[in-house]
Amino acid sequence: MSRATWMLQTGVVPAFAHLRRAGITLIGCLLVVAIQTAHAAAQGVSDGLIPLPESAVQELPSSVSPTEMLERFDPARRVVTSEDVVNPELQYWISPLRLLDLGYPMRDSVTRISGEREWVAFDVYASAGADQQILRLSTVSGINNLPERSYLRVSLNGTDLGRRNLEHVESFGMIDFALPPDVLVPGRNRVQIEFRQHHRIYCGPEASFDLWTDIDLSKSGLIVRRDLDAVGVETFLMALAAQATGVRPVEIRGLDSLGSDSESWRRFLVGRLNQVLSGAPVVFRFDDYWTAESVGRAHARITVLPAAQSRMRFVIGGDGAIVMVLDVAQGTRPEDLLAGIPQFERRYEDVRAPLVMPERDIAFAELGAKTEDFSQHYAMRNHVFRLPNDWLVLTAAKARIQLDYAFAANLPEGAMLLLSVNGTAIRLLPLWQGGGAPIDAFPIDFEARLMHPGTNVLTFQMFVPGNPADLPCPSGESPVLQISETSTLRVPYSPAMVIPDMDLAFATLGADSLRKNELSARAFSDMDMLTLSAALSRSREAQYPSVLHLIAIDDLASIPTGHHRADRRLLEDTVLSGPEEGPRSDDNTGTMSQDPFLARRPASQPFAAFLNAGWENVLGRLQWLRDRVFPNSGDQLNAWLTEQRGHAVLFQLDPDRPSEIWMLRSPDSDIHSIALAIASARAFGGGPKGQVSVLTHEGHWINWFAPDRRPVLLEPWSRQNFRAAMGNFVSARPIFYTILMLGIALLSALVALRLVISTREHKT
Amino acid sequence: MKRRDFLACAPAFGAMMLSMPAQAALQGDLAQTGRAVWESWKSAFLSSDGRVIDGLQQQSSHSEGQGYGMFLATVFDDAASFRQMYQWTERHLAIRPDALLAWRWLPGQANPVPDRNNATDGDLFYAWALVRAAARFRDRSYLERAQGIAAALAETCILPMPGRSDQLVLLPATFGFQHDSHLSLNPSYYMPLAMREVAAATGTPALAACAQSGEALLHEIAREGLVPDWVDVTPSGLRASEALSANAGYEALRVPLFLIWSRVPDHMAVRRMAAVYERTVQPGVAVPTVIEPLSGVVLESSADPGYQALAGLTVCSSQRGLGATIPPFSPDQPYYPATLQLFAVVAVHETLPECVPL
Repeated sequence: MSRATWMLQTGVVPAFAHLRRAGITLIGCLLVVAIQTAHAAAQGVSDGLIPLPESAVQELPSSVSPTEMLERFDPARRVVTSEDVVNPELQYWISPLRLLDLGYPMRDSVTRISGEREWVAFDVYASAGADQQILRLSTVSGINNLPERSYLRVSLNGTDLGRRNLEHVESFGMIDFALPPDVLVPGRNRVQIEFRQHHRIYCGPEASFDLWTDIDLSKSGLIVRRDLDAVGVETFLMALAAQATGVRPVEIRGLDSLGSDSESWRRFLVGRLNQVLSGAPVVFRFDDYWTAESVGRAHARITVLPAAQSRMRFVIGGDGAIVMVLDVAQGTRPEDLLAGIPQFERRYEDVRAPLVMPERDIAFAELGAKTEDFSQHYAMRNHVFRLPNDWLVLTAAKARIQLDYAFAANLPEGAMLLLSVNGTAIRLLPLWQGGGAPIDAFPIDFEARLMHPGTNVLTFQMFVPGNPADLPCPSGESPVLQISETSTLRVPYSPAMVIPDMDLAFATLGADSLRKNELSARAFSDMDMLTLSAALSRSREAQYPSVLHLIAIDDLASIPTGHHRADRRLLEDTVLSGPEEGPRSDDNTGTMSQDPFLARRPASQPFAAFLNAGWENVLGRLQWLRDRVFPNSGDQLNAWLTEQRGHAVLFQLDPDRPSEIWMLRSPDSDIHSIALAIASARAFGGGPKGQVSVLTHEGHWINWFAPDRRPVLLEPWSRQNFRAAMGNFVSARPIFYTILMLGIALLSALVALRLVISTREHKT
Repeated sequence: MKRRDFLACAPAFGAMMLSMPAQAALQGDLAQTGRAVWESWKSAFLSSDGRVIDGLQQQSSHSEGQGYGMFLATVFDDAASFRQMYQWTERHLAIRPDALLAWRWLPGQANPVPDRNNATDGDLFYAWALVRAAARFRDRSYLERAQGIAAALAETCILPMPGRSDQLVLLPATFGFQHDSHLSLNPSYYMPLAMREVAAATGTPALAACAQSGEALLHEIAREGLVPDWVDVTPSGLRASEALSANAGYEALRVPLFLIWSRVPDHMAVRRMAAVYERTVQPGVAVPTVIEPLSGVVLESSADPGYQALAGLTVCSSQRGLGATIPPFSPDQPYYPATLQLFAVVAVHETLPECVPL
């Protein structure tokens, strides 16, 4: 049967019947024609490729069997067992611990605590109506930990919750603490966990390096029932913390519906919510209302709706997420809508290291370094402080620490306390001689030029060898060292001076500091920008906010290099080479290692080799002298760059643009790692300084300081500041000034000689 | 005057209600704003040859799925996917001597279409998709195909209601639902908006009249309780189905969706279901899917986002609130709730912009 015949036989007759019933014969005729052409056209649609049915058209059935009917309308055909209905684990969620010290290594939501004895501080958010009764920790410890003697002790808002052994070794396991009544308060709570870890076999600093426990923060915190009776701002903060754990972005929906106001709302929400929540930066993503489910359940979200009247409310979304709904009328400023809600007041914008003023004895307590007893075999403590931005000492002036400390008698030989400033060791104190009595005001002088304007880090490292080292440590926990908070730090006077350094600009970066050009999108997506913006959101409002230019690797030419001659290829290598590709080796060395005979050739030509070596030695010394007298920072920068590999590089090479920093990133770098390193450096020091700074694959900032940078005096010359200011100028380029003075002296001597000779000449 | 300026000046419907410009602000172009959701649905349920796969039903495809998918393709402005589904359907299901489609195609079988009976809802959505496609993709041939289907539906599946000759009923299929003593009807096969649009576009007034009768029928059923999956119609009136599901189950879940979508959110059937949802649903956990119609006792629940979306839409429609507890779309749910969730998206977009998901 042809298709056309089929149409005539099946389409026309029913159509006529229908139209007779409707009484519209004329239209019916037209419809017949339309129906005829419909199928013909349908065959021809889509490039005329509607294929004919696979099987020939058959007659229709005259009845339907009960079996077919039951199968077709079986109520069970739509049913699927949902695990949510039966899985009890999905009936609750965790208000997670927020790690306060971002210096601990973190991978996704897991942080690692190493060493014999560590105190780690967390925040945890609670709600009055959420009925939280259990604090849960999800941990796994290394195989070297001795579970019988390794434990953690938890306190909540200063109340001891108890101690549990670290028994989960092979995989993560749960440790629950029942909360006494009235310990938890609505809002932010402080959790302190003391880790005591003992090695199975050995004792001493080396053994302590092998001790670790991982905490999965996404599964550690307060257990909250999913069927909350009511939600409010506190519940939202709990959920926000849960959502942000492991750098999961928090979704903000519908912001674009605010039209031209959306950008100001975007900036405000990113900034304010980062200032509200402690711990790692909160990353956001912006969506329309209709979204596909991302990986894992959402805990918190913000939804913006244009409305006739502005208000804020909190609801549970269809997916169970706690949603802050912002109904926004035109013209409403975000500050107005969130005003008056204490939980949304800025809390973390001003957390900066304490300021140390020169010529004052500053107690360690003022630096946040409380008296601490050490009973472990290795410990390291970093204490961050700030010096005024116009403080500068380049001379040999001394700063002084007066250390109040005590250590136990009869400690094993090799026990020591190492003090460092900004990574440079300043004093090694032996702890194996004497001991048993307090030592007050022990003077430790060090060169003040080790400190910089802005953030500085004072580090204590304690080493106590095991006694013996090849057996597990004894169970005694008596302190071996105490460093008192009454110890003081005194920093010498400095005239108001500055020297080019990106540290000052880095400290004043804010969420609005990011700048991009037309090529930036090749290296930084919009999401990357938001992530960096979140990391910079906790800055204090700066009077002169600085700028961070985001640069693509194809756009290196846009980085102003001042008088430095940075090699573009070396810059690229710094971020393009992976960590496994080591620094560029010297070409000659490489050739030498590949050619086994090359090593013997100098022996066959001893005289030529001697001449070459001597000549190169002379050249090297001349170059050294030239670099000191007329420092050529470009060569030194390039030599330094050959040794560097990392995720990102920050530049501030042009001294005429002191408030701008340029940033380059590796194409395969994780923007969250970079953001975390930035946030950590701003809060805890150890960040980028100098003219170029590389963020290594290990998460450290390695800095390069131009040798020819020149200090600038910010105040008038006076009798009081002359010596110190001149000292800084001379210290910045000592050889130059020495030769200059020698030149002047020589010139003076020649003039004097000429004067003597000329006055003694016999006049004829 | 800018859109947001107008919003400020326009008298609000109340603190929570939206003015028309605000509706526009919320809606945007769904083809753009909902693109991610549509792509997610396609990747989960649409094969490369245009077959919409229902995994729970032996990986089969049916006229309902093809019609649903093609309709969604018109909403999301996806001409290529529409054409693929259309071609596959014409090749594999358009095998009846009339313009209607065989209801199911089974993969891997010698005779993939053992039952050539049709399914009225599948035919209706197929025709509706063709009507929308004719306008969206500017191809009149789609409309001509829709005209054939509409005429065949009017001819074979629309009958006067027993005992009430002034009203029409929609048979679930050409065969199998006309009995000596009664007709078996599926209330969820009534999609008034689709019936009216197809009627208007194809010149098939019987479909529009049937939509009118259907709304009245649903109202009559809902006076007694929730609308069930199946109902028997006798010359003396309505009664619970004896042979098929009499519960308000997976079939009947569509009734409030289709009524809201058809711009009758105040319909008794919607209010009945909204009352059950308001009483039982907690956001983020399982929602009722099978309910005893008279007592309202929940017999089954599901946490599939699609069913949660229906609940969120129905409650929002009932409460006239701003924002609905509709979860994000998930492709990790079966075809049926996933597709209903996209329908909820379209329903919000077309009729209730204030019910965007929170």
